Amino acid sequence: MALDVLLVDDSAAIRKILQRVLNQAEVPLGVIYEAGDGLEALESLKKNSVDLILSDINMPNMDGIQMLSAIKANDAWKSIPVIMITTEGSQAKVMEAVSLGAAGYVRKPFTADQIKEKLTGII
Amino acid sequence: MGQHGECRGLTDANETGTNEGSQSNGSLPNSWMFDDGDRPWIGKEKVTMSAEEMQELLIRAIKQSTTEVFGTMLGIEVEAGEVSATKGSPAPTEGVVSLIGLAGPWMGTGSLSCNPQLACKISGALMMSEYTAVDEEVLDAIAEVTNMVIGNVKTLIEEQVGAMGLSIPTVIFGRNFSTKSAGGSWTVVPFKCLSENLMVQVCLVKNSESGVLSRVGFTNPQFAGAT
Repeated sequence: MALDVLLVDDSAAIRKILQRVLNQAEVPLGVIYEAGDGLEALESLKKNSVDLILSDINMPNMDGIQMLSAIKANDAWKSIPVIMITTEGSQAKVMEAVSLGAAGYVRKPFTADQIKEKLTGII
Repeated sequence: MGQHGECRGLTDANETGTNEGSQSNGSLPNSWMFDDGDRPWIGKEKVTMSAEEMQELLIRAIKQSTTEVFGTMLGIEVEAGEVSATKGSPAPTEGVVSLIGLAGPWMGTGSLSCNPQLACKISGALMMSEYTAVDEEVLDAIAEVTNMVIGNVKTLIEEQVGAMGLSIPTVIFGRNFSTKSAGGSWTVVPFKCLSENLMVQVCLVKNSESGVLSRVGFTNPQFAGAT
């Protein structure tokens, strides 16, 4: 089954890199959607069904933690695995993401292999 | 050097006795923290760190973070030069300057700057593309590199001083401009990168009003649920 993925990052550069990594990963990919912040991500989820979300934490308008919280509070979306990909390496942020139900955490800088490994572990 | 940029599950990060070795701070593995080595500020009261201790901490954090981000994300080796401290403005008056704000028990700004040619090379390495002139993609790539470098500096120093917040980056490109930072001393670490000069610098001052709004719209994360 092909996986539809939502990439959430205010940096178009990082979204492009993640898209490239996903294309290289040995997982069947369907549609890749993009959002520039948490609000855009929630709007995208209303219109599109996705199987996986890769999200930054530090973003304008709505950050990744707030977005994760909204996703896990929604019955239709709460089962979607969300992997946080961010420079936020503080213990408080990691614990907050854990308590909200994040499926994984990858710290920037990352390598393509690290993203692939995380995807394999979750999918 | 610790293995940063690790990809690990959150549950892994919570476990103790993993192959990462002992946990240095709560439940995060040591590899997310500083390298081993002497850390004279360890054990000191977080809020009483002096400006000199902060500068020493910043030098180590900037070197480690820059080396790691460039090595891991860009595949570029950088070599740190002679560190300096300067009052007033960051030195560059042309080229690409990327700025990002920090707030918490200490507050200030982190900056990465280089000439347009190096900005294009860095962006090309990040995006696996080729850029001959500074455009929107180059500025976006430099902003993201700055976010990673200063973001990791923040992660390293907040282990000692407490939680800090990070603003989104602003990138400036042009000629004959000047920048000014009110108060504080910049810790400047120059790097040789692809035979060009790259400067990473941070200016932090103690936040005497830690716990209240330090800047309009910029809340101390310690008192705002660390958002």
